[in-house]
Parts: sequence; structure tokens; C-alpha cells
Amino acid sequence: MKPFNISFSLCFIFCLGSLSAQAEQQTLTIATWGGSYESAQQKALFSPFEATTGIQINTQFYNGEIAILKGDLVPDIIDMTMDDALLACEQNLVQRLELSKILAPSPDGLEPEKDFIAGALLPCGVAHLSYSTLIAYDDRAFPGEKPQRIADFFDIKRFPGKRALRKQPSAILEWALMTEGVPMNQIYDLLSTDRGMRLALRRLDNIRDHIVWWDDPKEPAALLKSRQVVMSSGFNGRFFDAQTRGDTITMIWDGQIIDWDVWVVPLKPKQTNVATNKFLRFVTQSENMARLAEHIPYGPSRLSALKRIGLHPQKKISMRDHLPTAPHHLDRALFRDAKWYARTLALRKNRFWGWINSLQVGEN
Amino acid sequence: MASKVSFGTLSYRIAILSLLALVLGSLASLAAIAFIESVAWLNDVLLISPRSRVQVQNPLLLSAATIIVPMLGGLVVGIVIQRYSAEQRPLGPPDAIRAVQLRAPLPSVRSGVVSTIAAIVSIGSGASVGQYGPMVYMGAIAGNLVSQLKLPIANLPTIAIACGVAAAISTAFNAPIAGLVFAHEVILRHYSLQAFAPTTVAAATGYVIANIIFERPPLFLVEFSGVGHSYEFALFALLGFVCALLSVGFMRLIFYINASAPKLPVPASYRPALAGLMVGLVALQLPDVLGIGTETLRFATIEGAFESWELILLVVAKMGLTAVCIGLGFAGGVFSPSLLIGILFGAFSWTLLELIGLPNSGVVVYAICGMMALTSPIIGAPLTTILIVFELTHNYDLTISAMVAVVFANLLAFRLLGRSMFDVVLARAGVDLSLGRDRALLEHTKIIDLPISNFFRVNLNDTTQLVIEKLKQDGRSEAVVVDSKGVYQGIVRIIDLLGQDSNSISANLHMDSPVFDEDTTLWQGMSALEGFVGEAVPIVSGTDATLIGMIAESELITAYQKIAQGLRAEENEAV
Repeated sequence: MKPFNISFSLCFIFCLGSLSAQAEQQTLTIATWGGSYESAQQKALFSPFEATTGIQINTQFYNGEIAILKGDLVPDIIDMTMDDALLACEQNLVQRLELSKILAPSPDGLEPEKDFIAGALLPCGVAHLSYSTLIAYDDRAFPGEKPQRIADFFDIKRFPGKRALRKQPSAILEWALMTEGVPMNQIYDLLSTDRGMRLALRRLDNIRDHIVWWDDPKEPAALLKSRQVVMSSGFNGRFFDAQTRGDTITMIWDGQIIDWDVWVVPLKPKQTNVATNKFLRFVTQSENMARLAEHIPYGPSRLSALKRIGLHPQKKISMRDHLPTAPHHLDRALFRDAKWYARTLALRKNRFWGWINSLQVGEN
Repeated sequence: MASKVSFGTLSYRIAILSLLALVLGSLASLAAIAFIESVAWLNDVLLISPRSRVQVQNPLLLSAATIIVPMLGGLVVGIVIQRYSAEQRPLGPPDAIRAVQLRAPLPSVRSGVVSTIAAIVSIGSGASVGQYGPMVYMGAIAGNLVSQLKLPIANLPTIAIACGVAAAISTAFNAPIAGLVFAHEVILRHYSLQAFAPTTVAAATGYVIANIIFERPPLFLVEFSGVGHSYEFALFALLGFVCALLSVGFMRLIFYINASAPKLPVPASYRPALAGLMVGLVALQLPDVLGIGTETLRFATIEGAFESWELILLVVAKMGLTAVCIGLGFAGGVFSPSLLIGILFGAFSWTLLELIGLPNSGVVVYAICGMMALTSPIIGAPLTTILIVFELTHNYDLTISAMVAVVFANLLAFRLLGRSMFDVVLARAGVDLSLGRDRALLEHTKIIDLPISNFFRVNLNDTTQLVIEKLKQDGRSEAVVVDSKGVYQGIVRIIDLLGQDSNSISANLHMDSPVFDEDTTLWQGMSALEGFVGEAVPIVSGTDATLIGMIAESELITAYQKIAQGLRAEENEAV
């Protein structure tokens, strides 16, 4: 029975897909993060997908959280952070996926379960790449000693100037505790206590007058380039892209926080999954994942893809060395606990916005 | 000595000992890791660890769990211990020490396993008790199991237990040198090469398994750049003294509650549940008291994480709850709670320095000094404590500072209470190690167990003439006299009877001879012999005063010499 079932469903996916594609111009709306990340996806994944399947791809700008799933314009597929994906799954806002049927085996014929790294195949999605949240600085701002450790971000005396941070209760809490000498494996344990949260916010108090907030992931590089800030948090891929364009940006890998991006499919009435399944299968194929990593240094979650990463198309440098998970970047790296993140969202927001508001009251 | 042993025998012994140490090291180390993992898992599932608690959205559920979990944990522990353990109490390092020092068997494996399970449940459900005591005992169980093998090695049981304990500590703290020294300082209490070599191998094995195979992170990395002012060493010594006082107070509190527990109108099976309820109620306000408190331990090294009053409040709460938990029968050790109490108190001392504005080297060094100075008198192992600091922090300056605090703490606490909590527990159970192991062994050996010599018994009603003739016939110079019911009356000597007119022997009874009973120990016997001139001493039943037998003076001396020589031999054994 089983072989028949699989071949039947495969035929169902493809035969039906090609039929309907011929019948009318099909489109998929993908919610993703804009900027250099999206243009890398465009080159490495979306355009080849369109060329192969004839299905048109529209993108919709997405900037995190699960509110997008409750709004009017729900896209067909979302590129979510792991914690949001877990939350969306818990709240039944996204589909449960039978990934073993959707995903392609590796070029060597290895099943997805064995080829993807442990924990990548989730009940409601597939974690496809790792990215790093880290601090980068403008080299022009520090002609002498350069910042090297995460603690330097909080050191206004030695490294004066404005700092840009994302206006969200993420990453900064971890960094604040790292600078208190807390080892990586205890960061989330300590942040779980009221005391830990208080200490983290107290650390932020020290730099409160020097913070510039950002929202859109493409802002940090721009803020650094325009000299509005001397240091900024941001994503390693975006900073790398700015570097390739000649910006004087250096990343501080000390204290980097590694997280995963996950493809999820929202629940929509009257929806058939033919096109979305096709998309998931295509973008998680080893060659395609490797191609994306050549455009922007985010690490694919498939072992066979990791082995296939080559050179940057323009700069001709080996992209493997620029991934967050490259061995020389892992000395003091923190792997984000996405489950903890998902479950503490309300608490973190509460504390963070309470702190922001207390600043504003203080200023008035 | 060594030259008497052939090369073949020597190689055989070395091979066996090394293999034994490897097997034991692995066994104890894996058991310790399993223990730690089970506790961590329970802490997460039962909403004890902050990381699991923060992920619960429902505050009512959290409060309910805070009260119910430790209480139910206590119920399970109480019932399991009372029903399935022959000793009806949790086992720990004192039992291992006793077995090694007195060369006595360890309590049964069944009791050991029950005690271990009870400890996992205790710590897993948030009771304020420690994990290292139970892990040490697991090491001892492993050693005991292996020593059942009939291997031709002298002192095998002692060495095997020491190996198991060394590996357990080595794994638990990621500190092989501390494991090795702990086994010697606390368990063996001597440094023979025969024990030292395998213990080292076992400790190293534990370290390799913990560090390389399982890649367990270092337990306590702190950053410290050195002591800034020389006068601070005097402060460390002072801190040591104060911690000793706290430490002694803490131990006395545990003993007091332990002694008062039977007076409670609650059966022993339900007492731990009562302690659990108290933990839960306090934890509603002070969640830091739940469980081992790894997070609190870390916070204490961060400047400004606590207010002074919070530190003192936590010190008091943790001391009280730990005493209640242990005193009322939760299974677990005092080591981790002491670390926590000590580090909080150390941090508190630092806040006082800040208050008076004395320049100092920061909170870390005071916290660590306090932590170790309070703990060291409890385990009675200054050297181990100092090495633990060294191996946990990899920081030389911190180690030197902690060393100063630790030795002064030990000096004072030894005077006030005793060498360690373990030794005081043992002394109260009749095994006093404070005057040396030989004394303890002598006190542990009963005279009734020695070979009892043939003795010559006459009846009180026998005539003088009859007694003289009986003695002559048997070639003896004295006889023991009993009445018709066999009750001991005294001793008659032929020299007194010869030439006596009286028909009754009662006038010549010697009643000044020492008399032993079934409970007389070898130590008491040897003391009683002072000034004794006879051949043998009567042993008389303690219940109905009937004569049980006579023990020859020479037997007592032989037994004494055997023990003394055995100990010397063990403590100087090479391979």
C-alpha cells in the first residue's frame, strides 16, 4: 500500500500542479524580510522557481511576529523566525505539514529526516536557514582601538557614540547579561527570573541616552553608513551585503545570537496546497539552499546543502567562512532558545515596554 | 616490603587495580551524570526551574505547583524511605565513611538504591537539599558492588569505595583533583600509594567521561582579575571566622530539627511532606529557595543583583528550609545548600564593605570566599574545597583568597563542633573518629565477638575442698564462681583457698575483677585492663547477669595488635 500511496500523492502534487499552471497564471504570495535578504532570495530561489514551475511569486514585506496571520492580507507562505513559527503553530494559525512527503531527498538520495539537522523539521514548518543577530561597528568611528567584545557595546567611555538597537525585547536582553559575566549556557536560565530581567534592563539603563532605535532590518547598515550611529545591532547577512558594497562595517562575532528562519504555510479557507508544497520542495532542495547561501551568508539547515556552498557570485569569496556557524565564529555564540522565546513573548514585551515608557516619563 | 612480592604478582595487582579503577570511574561517573540529568528533567517537568516556570502563562497553575510539587515530592520520599529502606533514613557520605573507617559493610544495595531514588525525587521536586551527598553515596554503592568480586587485593572494599566516590565528585564538579583529594580527605583519611593510584585513575576517568564524552560545561566560570589591596586578605580571614560561626549554627539547627522531629505528632512517612509544604509556602514569596538554586548562585556574583536585605533574608530562609528539609527526612545533602548560603553571605559581606566605603576587589572574591568558607567546615575537607575553587574557576587569585577564608573557617568550626557534619553525625551514632581511626575501630569491635577462652566454672555451694581438687585436676589457678542460676558471683584463686578452714568459698571470692558484658567494646576492655592482674575477665549478660564466658587478657591484646597492625599496613601499603 505504502509505495502506491507515495507515488499517488507525488503525482497528485505535480500532475495537478502543472495542469492548473497551464490553465491559468498562478501566483504565490511570500511574506519575507525585504532588503538584501529578499533580493538574495529573489535571485537564488524565487526567479528559478518561477522559471521552473511557471508559478508567479509576489512578495509581501514582513517584519516579524504573528499578527500577520490574524490580519486581512494573509500571504500563502511566510518566512518566520523560529519562535514566531512555534507560537503560530501552538495557536493553530499555520498548517501542520507532512514534511516527509513534501521535501525532496538529498542529491545522494538521503531522506530529509536524515539530511536536515536535528530539530529543523517542525510540526508546522521547516527551519531552512540560520542567521546571526550581532553587533557591527563603523570602522571610521574608531580609528584607534576597535571594539571587539560584546561588552564594548555597553562601554560608552572607551567607545563613545550612538548605538542603534532594534526596538524589541530580543537580543539586547541576552547581551546585557553576557556583559555581567554570565556564561552562555545560563543566559536563558537567568533571564527566566525577575532578577535576571531587572539586571538586563539595568545594564541597558547605562546606555539609555545613546540608543537609536530601528525597526526595519535594512536600517542598521544605513545608519552606520550615514554616521548616525557608530555601532548597531543587526543581521550578519545584511552587514555582509553592505560590506560587499564597500561600506566600512566590521562585525563583532563575540556574543552573536544564532537563530533559525522557518517556512510556514498559513491556514486559509478553500486552499489547496499544490503550489505551496511545490514551493517548499523547491526552496529546500540542497542546490537551491546552497545557492541562497552564496548570495547571502545564512547557513542552510541541510547537511548536503552546507557541503555545496561555493563562492559569492560577484566577490568570488568562499561563503562558507562567513556563515554564523563557521567554526571561528562560534567561540562565544549563543543559540537562541526559540521555545523559551515563544513562551515568554508577553513577559518580555511587558518588561521592555515598561522600561521604554519609564524612560519617556524620565525625560519629560 | 615490596621486594617480597614477585614481579608477576605485582603486575597482576597493578593491572587489576587499574582495571578496577577504570570500571568504577566510568560506572560512578555515568551514574552521577544520570543523576544530574534526572534531577534537571524533573525540575523542568515539575515547574521548579525558573526556565520552566517563566514559560507557564497561568499564574494560578504556577502557584499551585509551587506548593503542591514539593509537598507531593515529600510524600513520595517519606513513604519510599520508610517502606523500602531497611535503615528507614536516607543514606549519605557518613555511611560511606563509616564503612571505610570501620571496615564494616555498607548498608544494603537495596537501601542505597532507594535512598538514591528518594534523593532524585527530593531535589527534583524542589526540596532545599543538595545533590552531591547522594552522588557520593552512589559512588560508594558502585565501589561496594565491585568489591564483591573476590579479587586477591588487600583492602579492596576500602579502595573500591574511594574510587567510586572520587569519580562521582570528579564528574559532578568537573574537578578531578578535587575528587581525588575528597576521597582521601573525607573517605579514606590516609594516603597510601595502594589507594592513591587507583583513586587517581578513577577520578581522571570521571573527568574524561564528563568532559570529553558528554561535554558538560564547566560548573562555575567567573571573571576575576586579582585582589587589589593586601588588607583584603585579613578581610577574607575575618569572613572565614564569621562563616564558621554561621556554618556551626546551620549544622546545629539541622541536628536540632532532626532530634525534635520524632516529637512531632506526624508519622515519619509524612514528615518530608510537611517540610515540602513549608518550602512551597516560602517559595511563593521567595522563589530563589526552590531546588538547588543554580541561578541564585550566579546572581550572587553579579554586583547589584541583590539588595543587602534580600541577601540576608535569603540566607536565613535557605538555612531554615534546608534544616527543615533534612531534619524532617528529605533525602539529599547539605553541600549545595551550603554553597548557596555561603555565596549569598559572602555577597552580603561585600555590600557591607561598599556601605562603609572600603575600597575592595569586587563582589566575586567575597562571594566565593563566603561560599567555600561556609561549606568547608560542613564537609570537613579544606583541601578539597580549595581545589574545587581552583578547578571550577580556573583562577589562581580566587583560589588563594578562598584558601585563607577556608582554613580560618575550619579552625574555628573544628573547635566549636567537630571536624565535619559527617563526623558529628557518626559520633552521635557511636562512631567517634575525632580521636583517630584506631580508636573508632576499637570502639566498634565487641569483645563478645573475640574468641572466648575455655573457662573453669564452680558453683557457689561447692566446698573449698572440692574447688581445690577441681582446680588441681585441671591445672588452673583460678575459677569463676556462679550461683545455682548461673549468675556471676566472683572469682576464686587457688592460692587463697589452700589452707583455708572454712568449708564455703564465699569468704574468698574476689569481686574486684572487671566485668564485661555483650556490649563492651575492645576500647573499653583495654581501658579496664589497667592494673588488672588476673588471667581472664568474665563476660556477664547485661540482662540477667548470668555468666557468658571468660575472655583471656592475651586475647584482648592480640585483637588490639591485630587492628593496629592492620591499619598501619593499610595506610602504608604500596601495591
